[in-house]
Amino acid sequence: MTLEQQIAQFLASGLVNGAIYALLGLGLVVIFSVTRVVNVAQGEFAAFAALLGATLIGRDLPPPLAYFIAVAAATGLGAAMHLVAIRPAREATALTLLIITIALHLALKGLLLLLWGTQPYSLPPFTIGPPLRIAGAVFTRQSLWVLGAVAVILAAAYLFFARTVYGKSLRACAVNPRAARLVGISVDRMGTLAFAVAGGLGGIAGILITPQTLATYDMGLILGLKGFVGAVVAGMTSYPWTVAATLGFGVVEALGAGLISSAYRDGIAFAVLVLVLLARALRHLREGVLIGEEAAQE
Amino acid sequence: MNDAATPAAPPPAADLLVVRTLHAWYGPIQALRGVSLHARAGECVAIIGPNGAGKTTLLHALCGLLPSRGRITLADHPIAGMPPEALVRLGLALVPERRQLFTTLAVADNLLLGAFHRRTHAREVAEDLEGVYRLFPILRDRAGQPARTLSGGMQQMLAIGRGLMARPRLLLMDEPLLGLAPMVIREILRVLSDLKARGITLLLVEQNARAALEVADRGYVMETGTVVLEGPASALAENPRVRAAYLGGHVE
Amino acid sequence: MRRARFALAAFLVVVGALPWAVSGRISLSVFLFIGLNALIAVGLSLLGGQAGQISLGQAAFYGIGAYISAITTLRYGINPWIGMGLAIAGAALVAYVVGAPMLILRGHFLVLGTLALNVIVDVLIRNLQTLTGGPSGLTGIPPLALGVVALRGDRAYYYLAWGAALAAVWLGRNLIASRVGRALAAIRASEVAAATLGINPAHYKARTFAISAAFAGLAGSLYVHYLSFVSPSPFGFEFSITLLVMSVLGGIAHLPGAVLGAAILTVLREALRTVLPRFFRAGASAEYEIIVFGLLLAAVVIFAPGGVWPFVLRLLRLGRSGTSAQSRRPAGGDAPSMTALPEPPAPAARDDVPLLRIDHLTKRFGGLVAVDDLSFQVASGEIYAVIGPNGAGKTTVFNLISGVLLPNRGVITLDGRSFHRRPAYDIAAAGVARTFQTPHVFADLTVAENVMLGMHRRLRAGFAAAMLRLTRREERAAAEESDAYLDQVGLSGLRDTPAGALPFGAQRLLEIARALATRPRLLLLDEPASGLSALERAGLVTLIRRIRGGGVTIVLVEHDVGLVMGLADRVLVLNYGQRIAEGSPAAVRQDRRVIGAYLGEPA
Repeated sequence: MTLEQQIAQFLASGLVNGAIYALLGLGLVVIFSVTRVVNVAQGEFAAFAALLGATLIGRDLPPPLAYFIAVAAATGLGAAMHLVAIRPAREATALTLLIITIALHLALKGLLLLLWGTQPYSLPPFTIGPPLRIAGAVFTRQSLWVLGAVAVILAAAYLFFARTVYGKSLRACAVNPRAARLVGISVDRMGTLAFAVAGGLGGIAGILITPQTLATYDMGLILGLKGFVGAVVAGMTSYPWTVAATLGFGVVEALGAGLISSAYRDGIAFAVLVLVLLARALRHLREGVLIGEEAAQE
Repeated sequence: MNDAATPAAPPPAADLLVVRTLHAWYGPIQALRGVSLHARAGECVAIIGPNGAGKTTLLHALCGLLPSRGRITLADHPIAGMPPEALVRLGLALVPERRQLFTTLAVADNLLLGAFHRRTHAREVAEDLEGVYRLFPILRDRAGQPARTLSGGMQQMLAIGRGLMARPRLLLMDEPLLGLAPMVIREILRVLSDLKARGITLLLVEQNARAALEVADRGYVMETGTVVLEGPASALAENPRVRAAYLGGHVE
Repeated sequence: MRRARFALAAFLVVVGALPWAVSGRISLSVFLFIGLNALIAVGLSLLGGQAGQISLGQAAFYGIGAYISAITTLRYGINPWIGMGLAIAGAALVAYVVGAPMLILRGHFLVLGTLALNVIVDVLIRNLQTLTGGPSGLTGIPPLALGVVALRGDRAYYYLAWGAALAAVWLGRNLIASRVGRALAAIRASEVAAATLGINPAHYKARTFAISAAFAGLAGSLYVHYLSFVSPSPFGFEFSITLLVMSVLGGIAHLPGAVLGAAILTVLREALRTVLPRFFRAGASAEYEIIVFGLLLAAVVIFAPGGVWPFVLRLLRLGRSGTSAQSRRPAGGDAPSMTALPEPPAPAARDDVPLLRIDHLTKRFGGLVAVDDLSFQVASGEIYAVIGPNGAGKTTVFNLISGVLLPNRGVITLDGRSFHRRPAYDIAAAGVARTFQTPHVFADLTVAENVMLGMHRRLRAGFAAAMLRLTRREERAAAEESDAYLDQVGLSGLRDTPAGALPFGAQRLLEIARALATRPRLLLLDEPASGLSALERAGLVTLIRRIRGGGVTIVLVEHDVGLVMGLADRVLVLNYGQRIAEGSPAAVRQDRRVIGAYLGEPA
């Protein structure tokens, strides 16, 4: 393979992975914008759905049904997480909430270990067939499914946030929670909705990624962290930018792993995260945002 | 203060809002010290006074955004201590100080969210939206634009429109004229008269005493957490003690 | 006090005698690892409890320290003690360079940034095989030595580990009770208020982070010399999470709590590893501890958010830990005051140069212009008032002058020195002090400590001096001087009261005393009379006049126009962020534009 072909290949796989990270990143941003919580347990939604899906298929359920149930379960898990652990702690400091999500991550990971053990599980690809060659790169059928599915979901998410009352009310909560209360929006309920949406997005990511890489009980944290990278670049507020940033990140990761060394794959990914954080910090320094708290408008 | 030249007024409408000895604290400061007032259905009541008098605290306490002690009734229904989400369903809406719009959402979305608690009645909501557009035609022109791209005056109209979408019986307005050019103030005052004509009860907190007293029926003057003067708006407008309340020298 | 000393002595005896007590029966290594884990956890608690930052990367510093020691001694034959020094310095350096910038961001960015750092370090260790030996690690690392005697075996390293852990607690507590600890407490309470006292939050957070990394690096060095072997496995982010659980379990605000948390968790881990294989499939049992740790963490955060240490204290009836050690007068009576604290240089007041000059100050918030091309001057020794209706931009102007907000345009000139977009701590250093609309006193600190924070810039003690307790003399002088400021505002006798317990009026006075303690040239008072009773207002007026008499120039924002009229030399009236009138109080009061601004334009 020529260098060009290699690069095309890396771009392709980077886009596919980036698409999956984008779903996780979106989930993180939805939760953060509405509840100001950084959900360290975001990746567990993906792990849960993947493992559950594998078990259901193992019980001979038709795949579409198995996947649907798995994603629905992840959605429910998200809502439950908010109701049980986050909502009661709504007066807590941001740091305490963060520790709570770390505890949730540990507890869920442990639960997954208990139920599914340490062995990897796989899911069958959505369709069987030889890979296709598009624009100089080879795409497995599954990766095309991934790209297609994510595109559809992003479109659906766009419609949800732009056109439906609940999508708009989620955005309203993120922009101005007090004004949201004044028009009758219950910020608590919106928090639960946000977590449920994030659970669903994470679940779909889990289902999509597993046919090409195996699912294990501990796959969540790294996956969630990669979604976080894109979210941070986008400032934890903008959905379109989060998607763009995670796609970009997926490509950078693939190029780095491919051109430098695949052993460094995760290291490159997180080096990007650290660089992004440093860049943000320097920008804050320059703008004098020492005083994040006080907007100080009279 | 009676004026014998006024023709006999029709029997007063029932009190829609009654507030009795309301106390409220803003952190460690007692911002309201036993405030009492009332508003009759269809009236426009102005609450004026210098900064720090507790006017905004009063509205926040009425809306349940701030804990308070005392009696508040809306159409004889006790509402003290109820959260804003519940109050909006009872017909009480607040147009907050500095508008507090959903800045990144479109004008139309801001209005639609104003009717969030009635979201199941789609047709009525659509009718009300039409009504707001007729009241503020300029909002219809900019229905798709994000709220933050609007000028100050238009944002104020949007905030009022959002409040109206809740189909309130009582509309509380916190300094709607703040930061607006004189011409826009005229416009807003016209709208307020219009609303009065439609029978919506208005409680208007304003620092701009002259403008507020123009459109109001009655007024209360507040100073350091208490009501120091009350009466018909026309009488207050000519009262030199009002000026003293703003510019120093305490009201005797 | 006596109980505490007795309990401490008993504890030290237990730690010291343990190797003999357990010899032969239980392996000492578990207790050794408690000591090492405690050392790292103390650093994490110092960072979390004092600087308010959570790091999920301490295992990385543990690893960096370990590998620096291993590589320098094994490959380059460097003396292990020097290698240890390099390990400590290396870990601290990485923390400072990488972590410090991230500390500027909000808390959760640091958490995930340190987690990322942990992964990066892990990947590097595993892949730079020629240097680190890769996944199989390095063996044959030489032990530490005292002269010719090589230190080997559990006992020697047990004492080293515990010695280091206890030293860390001692150093940490000294730090907390010092000027530096005070600054950290101020930063935790309100970064804005701390900045206006001349404290640069990033500076303090970064150095605390470096210290926490240094402790972890030291632990890593001890670890490799003990085992004479190192591999990447203990340094992954899972251990960072475990360390966090140790800290939170013990109680992140209490350093001894970190030791307790380390002990509980290490023992728990061992117990799980021996007990669980009987119930679950072998091999996976070590990982079931995750569930237990997660549930434990959750339980602590929900039911005992302060950690277990406060319960232990209560159980042993040792009273509450963490009471301020700072404002206690040193025992031994009142020694005559030693060297008085240095005064900031007071340039001679020059009549031709205004003390404060504002030129074309502009601030926009999105589309709204809050301050519009504002210019004015204040002469030295004046009392200058800024008034105007709500929304006029008065507090924004204050925030701009004090550096809390940066202007879009405009220059602030103080006594001839120009400042353009300088942060609050620089402007405070130039002699500007301020109070806030609602008092930003540090509620959990005592009255005296609040005032001593005003003196922060005039004191010197840095991290090293603080940890080694070399600052007694300076602290004593500072404590004495703080009384003078309390007397000035009428709060004498309240020095040990927690600031949060003061009534509102007293908090206002405390804020003023704290501002005076900075020995400012310019004092900005933001609505000092709001919320005060008539009697308190009268006292305030007297105080302000006295402060001016002491040579301080005063600018105040006020709504109580009556108070302003009696007090101010000149008045500036703002509306819509612009100046609409300036002059003597009498003139301004009659000005038609001013009346119009307040009451509304005529129809």
